Amino acid sequence: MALNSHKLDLHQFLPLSPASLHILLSLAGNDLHGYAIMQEVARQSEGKYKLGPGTLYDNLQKLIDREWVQELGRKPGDDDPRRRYYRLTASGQGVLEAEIERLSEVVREGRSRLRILKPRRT
Amino acid sequence: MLRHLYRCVVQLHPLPFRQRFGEEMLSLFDLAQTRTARFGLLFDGILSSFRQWVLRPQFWAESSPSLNSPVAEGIPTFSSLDNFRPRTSAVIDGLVFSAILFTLMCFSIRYSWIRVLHIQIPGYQIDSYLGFHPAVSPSDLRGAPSKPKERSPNVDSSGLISEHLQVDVMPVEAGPATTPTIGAQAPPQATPVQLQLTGNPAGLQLRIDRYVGTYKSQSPQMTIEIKVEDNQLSIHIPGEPTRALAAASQTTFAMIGDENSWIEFIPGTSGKMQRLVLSRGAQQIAAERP
Repeated sequence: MALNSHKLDLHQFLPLSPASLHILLSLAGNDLHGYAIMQEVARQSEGKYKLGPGTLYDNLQKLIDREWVQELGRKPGDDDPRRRYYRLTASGQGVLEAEIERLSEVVREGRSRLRILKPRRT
Repeated sequence: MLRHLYRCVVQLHPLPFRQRFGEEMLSLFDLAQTRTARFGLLFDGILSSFRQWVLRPQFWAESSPSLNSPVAEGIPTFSSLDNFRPRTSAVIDGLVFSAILFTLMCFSIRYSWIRVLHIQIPGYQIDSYLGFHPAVSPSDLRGAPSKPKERSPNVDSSGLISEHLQVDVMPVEAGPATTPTIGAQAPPQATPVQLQLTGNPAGLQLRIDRYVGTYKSQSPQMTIEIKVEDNQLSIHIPGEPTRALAAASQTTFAMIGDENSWIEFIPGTSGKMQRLVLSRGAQQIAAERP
């Protein structure tokens, strides 16, 4: 029952914006700094979607405020000491899963509709 | 140069934002290799600053942990500002309202520069019971030459006597004008003018029927007759030849041929002249309609 109410709470934030979705996806694997997130987003979208620093940190600010992303701070031994790392939290992972599930439904529905629309062979 | 500009753009962000992400944004800028990429980051920074100030007011007052340090060199720091966060919609409404107000002000200022209001006050002619025409200027009465003007609609173009008579203003005579003095009462200084029934419509306009008539004097007992003779308003005093009158004003007339004599008419309630005072030097004769 508590799990269902938690899912209900998460659904009020859906659908996610493309920038938020890509950032959460990027952080789903590892803890990354800002530049690495930008590179990961470009890789995921095969270069079709590029985040600028302004958009990146604006979304990171929102995600941190919602406690979906956690700021880890600097890591010793990094090339650039100014870099800070970010980590996906449990609630952030829940939101990401809910969004992926929603997108899966959309893809499934879309494929079934497109299959109906295909001309039948007689 | 571009880096300096980008640093300025980062400084334009709200304090919590630039404290949290400012250094990282600069590090990303340093990683940009090409000039085009740096220009792109500069543009992105400007947009980000605008977005943070306009659309993210909820993050303005959010301070970083370093700002919350209560002691700076042993002296506690305080913040006197309230933690007020205006709604995003309120900020946008305020921007739109300000822009509209500014536009209206500019438009009204510009309009006031190039437009002049033309307010037309409808003109009218004062046609009192004396028939005085307001268009007659004092210079006209003094005998300045006047151009023909069509001022009075009552002028009979056929030249016959109409309801209103016209007084032509004659040019000023050469030499000093002789001003008759009649006792203590000095009539207005004026050049004698000739009354005509026809001619120039401009000038003093008189209703001659208000003057014409018989006036009787008690002392000495005599009857003075004001009449129209040879197209001129004239006066006939018993025992004297008929003399033409020249109007100096609506009520004051000079006797042509007798420079020491003046006549002043006094109007009655009916509009017609009820009395006249004939001044001859120190002598004054008052006469009244019977």
